[in-house]
Amino acid sequence: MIRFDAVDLIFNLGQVNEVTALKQINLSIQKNEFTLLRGASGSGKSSIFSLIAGLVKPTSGDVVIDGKSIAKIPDNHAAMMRRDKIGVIFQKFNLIHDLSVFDNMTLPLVPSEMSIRDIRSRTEGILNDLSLMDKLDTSVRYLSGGEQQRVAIARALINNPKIILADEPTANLDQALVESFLQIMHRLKGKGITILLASHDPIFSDLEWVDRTIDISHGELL
Amino acid sequence: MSILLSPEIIILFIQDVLLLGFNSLAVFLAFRIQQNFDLNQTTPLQYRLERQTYLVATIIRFALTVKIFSFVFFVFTLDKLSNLITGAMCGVGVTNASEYGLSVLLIKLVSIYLFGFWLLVDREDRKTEDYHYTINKFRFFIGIYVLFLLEVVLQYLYLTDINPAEIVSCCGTVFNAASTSFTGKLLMIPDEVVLPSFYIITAMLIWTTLRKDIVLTGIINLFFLGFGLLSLISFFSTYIYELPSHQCPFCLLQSDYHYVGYLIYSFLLSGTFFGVAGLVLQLFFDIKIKTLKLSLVLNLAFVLLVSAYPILYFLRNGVWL
Amino acid sequence: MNLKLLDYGLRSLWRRFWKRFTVIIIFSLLVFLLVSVFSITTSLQKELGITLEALPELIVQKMSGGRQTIIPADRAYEIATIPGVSTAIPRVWGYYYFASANVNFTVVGQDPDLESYKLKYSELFDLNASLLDTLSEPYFFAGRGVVDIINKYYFKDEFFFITSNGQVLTLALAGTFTDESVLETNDVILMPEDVVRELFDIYEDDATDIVVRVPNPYEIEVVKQKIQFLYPDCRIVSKSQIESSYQNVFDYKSGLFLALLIPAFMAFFTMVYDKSSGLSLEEKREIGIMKAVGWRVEDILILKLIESGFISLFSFFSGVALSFFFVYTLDAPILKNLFIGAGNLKPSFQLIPMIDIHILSLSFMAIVPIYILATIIPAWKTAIIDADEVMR
Repeated sequence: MIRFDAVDLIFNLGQVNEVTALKQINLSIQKNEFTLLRGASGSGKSSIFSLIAGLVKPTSGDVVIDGKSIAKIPDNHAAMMRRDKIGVIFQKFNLIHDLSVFDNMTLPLVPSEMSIRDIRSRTEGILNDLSLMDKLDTSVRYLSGGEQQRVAIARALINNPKIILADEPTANLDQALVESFLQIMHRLKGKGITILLASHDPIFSDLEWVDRTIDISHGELL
Repeated sequence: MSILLSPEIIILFIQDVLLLGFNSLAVFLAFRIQQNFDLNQTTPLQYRLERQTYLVATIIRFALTVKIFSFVFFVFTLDKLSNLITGAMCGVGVTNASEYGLSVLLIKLVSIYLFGFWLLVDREDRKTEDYHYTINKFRFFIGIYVLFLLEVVLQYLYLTDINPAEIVSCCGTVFNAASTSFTGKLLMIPDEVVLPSFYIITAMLIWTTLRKDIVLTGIINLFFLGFGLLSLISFFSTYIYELPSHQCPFCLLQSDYHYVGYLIYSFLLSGTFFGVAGLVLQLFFDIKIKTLKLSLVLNLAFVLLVSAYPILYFLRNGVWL
Repeated sequence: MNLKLLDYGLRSLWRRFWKRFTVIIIFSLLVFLLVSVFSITTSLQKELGITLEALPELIVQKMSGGRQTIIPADRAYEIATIPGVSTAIPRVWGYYYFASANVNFTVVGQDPDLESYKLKYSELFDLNASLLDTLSEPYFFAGRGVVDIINKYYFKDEFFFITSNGQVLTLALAGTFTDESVLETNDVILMPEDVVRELFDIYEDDATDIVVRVPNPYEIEVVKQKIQFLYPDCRIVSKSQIESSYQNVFDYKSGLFLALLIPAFMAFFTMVYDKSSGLSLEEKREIGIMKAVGWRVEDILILKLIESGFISLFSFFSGVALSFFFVYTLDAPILKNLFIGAGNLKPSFQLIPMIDIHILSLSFMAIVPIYILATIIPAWKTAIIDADEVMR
């Protein structure tokens, strides 16, 4: 599903502030695998996510998503791929505070051709799963931490993604919310989605349904 | 009093200055892009160039919109200026007030067509995953820019060349089969030749479109444009004015005839635009676009509209002019 | 057009309304100025058009040394024999300078018994015929503007004129013009012809000029040439020349105004550019999020341009509405005077209300492209914001 072939990622190449984020990364993640990515901050985890999402291009090497190379495609095609196949859950949720739950979670689909009716029926399904239906039109700023996280998850699911990327999703949550998050992740795996989760929360290391663990440090895989 | 201080003229000048500035920026970027663009390299330079392609495309999209509005406005202004220039009773007189008049009109039209073609190429280019046509597209724009410069210069020369005190001929003299000018000679071709030719070409257009032959349709469109204009001036316009001696392409645009001229020309020009676009994109870029049907619909609308006038006249009066 | 995108764009604009407030205000103001000025000039032109309707087709003036001079009145007989001419009437009139108020009155002479070339003059004589019979001294009729001025100088029922010979001529005010076109008669004084002759020292056989009526418009040029041939020392002014020159003046004045506005346009452009370029941290974050979830550069560009488009339309219509109120309800104080010109009396009249597509399109073309172009580069800069930073 996701494959990196000898990927290098160097920022500000040739300039004074040149920084090597990733060095010769080779990895291969199969469909429906739950992969845990471990590493300290600055180790290159976020760079890997950016590459998979097509937000940056590798300085050298190839990135293949769902059988298609995205290392050199133009920005608008990368964005389309992102919209069609990938859902992202950010560390800080990154919701738009002025907007409602509905607006936030349907954000990825606004520029698409999908009709409003179809979008609504999709939202209903997802919100029911996440027990957020009653908060549909509430502005996000009035929600609790746990509720906001669920909105972030809902947004990541709205486009029926094949891949979900989660960057430190449990960093700001209490134990109970972490538990419920894990349950949701497990359910999603059950639906056939490939999940890549970055965290140095030890709770993940003990889960049996983690198919693969990748450790990264200073831009290299260990 | 020089007509130069007429508010319409000032607005035209302002727009030209703005367009000149932005198009010059666009061509500067276009030059750099066509020189260095290479999707295979993932350097910061390539990132910049790729982002700049969006700026150029947006500028051109706006330039086209402004140009279209400006052209309609220009035509409208020519009509209004006919009140200020001795002897002119419609835009034809104003156009003839200077030797540059006709050239300005033609070059503006061609320019609009070219900008439009560019945008069509751009749309197809973005659909490809390797931005296949980008380099050629920007080279094309450099050519378009040169024409645009010419247009600006010609418009300036034209507007400063008009002398309101000089008497000009009106459409009655210019579009008269008895005159010795080029237009006069054209109008000497009898209606029995022009009219059937026009309809035959229309039929050919339908046939080539149904056969999905892009190149042939494009070529026929060019003939359609020519014969369409000719038949409009020499035949159909007389039925719009209901006067056999009044053969003028401009007076159609006046309020006396409910501004029907704008509709007629819109159909003809947009129809032939989409038809010729197919030809141009195929020949120069090897792109096949699907505008044939749209072109046909617009062209047929033109045919129906102009044909309606003589038919309705006959139905109402029982005779032809 | 994607409706969802349109909806998002408008709501996003609404969320940030106050940020754009200054731009909207200034934009509306510029539109207001443009529409007002064009409305006033067009309105005045139409008014003038009504005036010019009644003008004769040709006016024959005798020239001497490049200046207009007295013309022998009997030339009118000769002119009247030219085929195509329906009437040729000698006119006696002139400008009277009222020193105390520093204004000119137009003094027109009319034989009370003869038909005037201007219908309303005859009408006035007829209307007041009974009154005139009772008057012993010479009299005059005056336009509203004249009456206002002489009242200011404490003249009520009569006025002292000073003739070219320095004599004082006292005339009784017999009546005022009541009419539709105030512009035309505002500064006019109508008197019996022989009184005008006395005032300006014009002999019996002479006239100020000769007005010629030619009913068939196609014959005007020919008649003009014939008269010129008959009297080479004359200058012949045609009605269309006058119309043309007036239109020129209005054109010139509104064009000049527009030209003077150019620095304002430039400043506007710069301001819009600046304001559109400054993005708050919050906005940058929002764009970053949008790109991260799959919005393309094109999508964001369309969003930004929906916002600009809407602001343009909103400001344009606000400006137009404001202008209508100013010009037709408040009667355009200050601006109106700019276009009527000094030296003549300023009439107080209502501008004729109208919705003219020409004025609207002129104003639209003057300012909207400037605004939209000013937003292009800032919109692009916004659309290419790197989402990568948002991820981290």
